[in-house]
Amino acid sequence: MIQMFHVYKIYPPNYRAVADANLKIDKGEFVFVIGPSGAGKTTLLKLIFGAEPPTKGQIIVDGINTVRAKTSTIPLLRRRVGFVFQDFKLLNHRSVYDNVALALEVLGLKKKLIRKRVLQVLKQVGLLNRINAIPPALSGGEQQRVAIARAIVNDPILLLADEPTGNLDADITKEIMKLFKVINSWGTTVVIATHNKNLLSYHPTKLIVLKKGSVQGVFVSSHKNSGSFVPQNVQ
Amino acid sequence: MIIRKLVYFTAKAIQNIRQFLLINLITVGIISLSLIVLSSFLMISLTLQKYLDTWKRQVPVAVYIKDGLPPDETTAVRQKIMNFHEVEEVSFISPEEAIRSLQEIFPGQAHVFGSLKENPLPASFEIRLKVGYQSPERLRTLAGNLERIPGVDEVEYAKDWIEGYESFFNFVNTVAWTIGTIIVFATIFIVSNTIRLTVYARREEIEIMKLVGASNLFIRIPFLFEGIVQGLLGAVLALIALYGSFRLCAGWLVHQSFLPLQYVQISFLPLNYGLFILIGGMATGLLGSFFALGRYLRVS
Ligand SMILES: Nc1ncnc2c1ncn2[C@@H]1O[C@H](COP(=O)(O)OP(=O)(O)OP(=O)(O)O)[C@@H](O)[C@H]1O
Ligand SMILES: [Mg+2]
Repeated sequence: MIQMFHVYKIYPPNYRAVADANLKIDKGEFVFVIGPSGAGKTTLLKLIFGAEPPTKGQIIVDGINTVRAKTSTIPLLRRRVGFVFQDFKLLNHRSVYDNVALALEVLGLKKKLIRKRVLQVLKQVGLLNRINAIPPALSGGEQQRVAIARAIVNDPILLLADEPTGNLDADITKEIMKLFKVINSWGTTVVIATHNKNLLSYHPTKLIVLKKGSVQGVFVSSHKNSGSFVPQNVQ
Repeated sequence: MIIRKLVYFTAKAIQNIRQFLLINLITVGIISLSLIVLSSFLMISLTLQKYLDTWKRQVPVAVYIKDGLPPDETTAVRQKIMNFHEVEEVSFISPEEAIRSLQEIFPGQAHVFGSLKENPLPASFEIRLKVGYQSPERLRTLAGNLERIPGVDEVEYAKDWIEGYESFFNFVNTVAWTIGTIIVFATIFIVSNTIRLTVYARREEIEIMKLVGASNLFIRIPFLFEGIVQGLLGAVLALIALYGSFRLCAGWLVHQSFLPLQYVQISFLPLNYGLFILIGGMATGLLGSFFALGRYLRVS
């Protein structure tokens, strides 16, 4: 699903946010990218999403080389990928409903169909009672769940979630992680960036440890979805 | 699918216009004003052209024949004149007829003509030309050729008038075109700035739409529609204003004795010009928004 070859991201003037990243994430995996603040987790996800071009290296997502692809194919890729942004990126003047519906509007779906699907997803994230509110009127955790709803509303083949539980309490975190697990069980590849080690109890198939822009290690769980997660260093 | 998208894009465009209602209305007003000015130029030009044509059709060319030319030679001259393909009609004016028409023109001076011992006026042929042969150059050549017919003394036509009128007409046309072009560009510029304002206000939404996979076209079309809607509204307003003022003015103008307009109807813009204004308005709006989007909206 995702392959990275010697990927560098150097922000001007000379800051290495990601250095020589080589990664392979298979279809259907449930992956954590973990590391301290400033390690380059967000940058890594943005590189996969094509929101930032790499300074060097090649990235292949769902068979598309995002570095070499024509600009017109990037939107097509994004329609199949969901992204939960760390800063949510919600439209503050639009209702919760409109924010989530936006991801389906760009697909040109029928209004009725959009409505059905949006309500379904808002129910899953527990926001059915807030559909007409605007994001500034929501709590941080509620906003985060709107961002999650928008990312999964179009049944993506790949879900990139940047600190998706950063603003959620333990109970809601549990709910959301369960939701991600369900989505993953339906075949969506899930990549979650977090600095919260507690999330490791949710059994990733792969754990990518980042530190100061470089991949410190990639750990693969011995048994997929087994009760106990035993990381092993493969690098 | 296509209809659904059209509805979606139109709704978006209207939403954009409503968000900046005032500035959009001002832009519509400016489009409509400039279309009014352009159409007035067009109307003036059409009216002048029509007037010129009517007037030219009546331009008489007088061929004076030599004094005392025998009747058979006079007939020969007539025959030769008829042979020019520009000539529509030839009529003979005898010296007596010439006097009579002079007396009709100056009825008060009848005694002056009566007191003349000898008729001083020569016989002449009055020629009416076919439509389309009245340009100054053609008249000049024709006059030269007519003068070369044996038995012809002199050829006269309103040379200075025609040339003067023609160059005046050309001057007015050139000025109108120049000002018109400037107005068109200024209007496109204004539309472009208004759209740029909407784009700027929506930059966050545009960014997020890109993040959820909207194509460039999908993001652009509502703004292009916005321009087209502005242009269309401007054009409709302009047509209404033009027609209203035409109905008010035309009747009044015709009855003004100081303008020689009895022969000429002031032209309102014909139907195809009305369409032209509508399409021109929409094209202006479309171009304006197209330029506004030029720098923005690249995938990032
Ligand atoms: N647009 C940018 N321009 C310059 N430097 C940047 C830019 N974006 C990120 N960086 C730098 O790159 C480094 C990695 O940033 P990144 O956002 O990927 O970290 P992170 O692992 O997501 O951290 P956090 O856990 O706090 O979200 C940081 O030191 C940051 O300052
Ligand atoms: Mg981050």
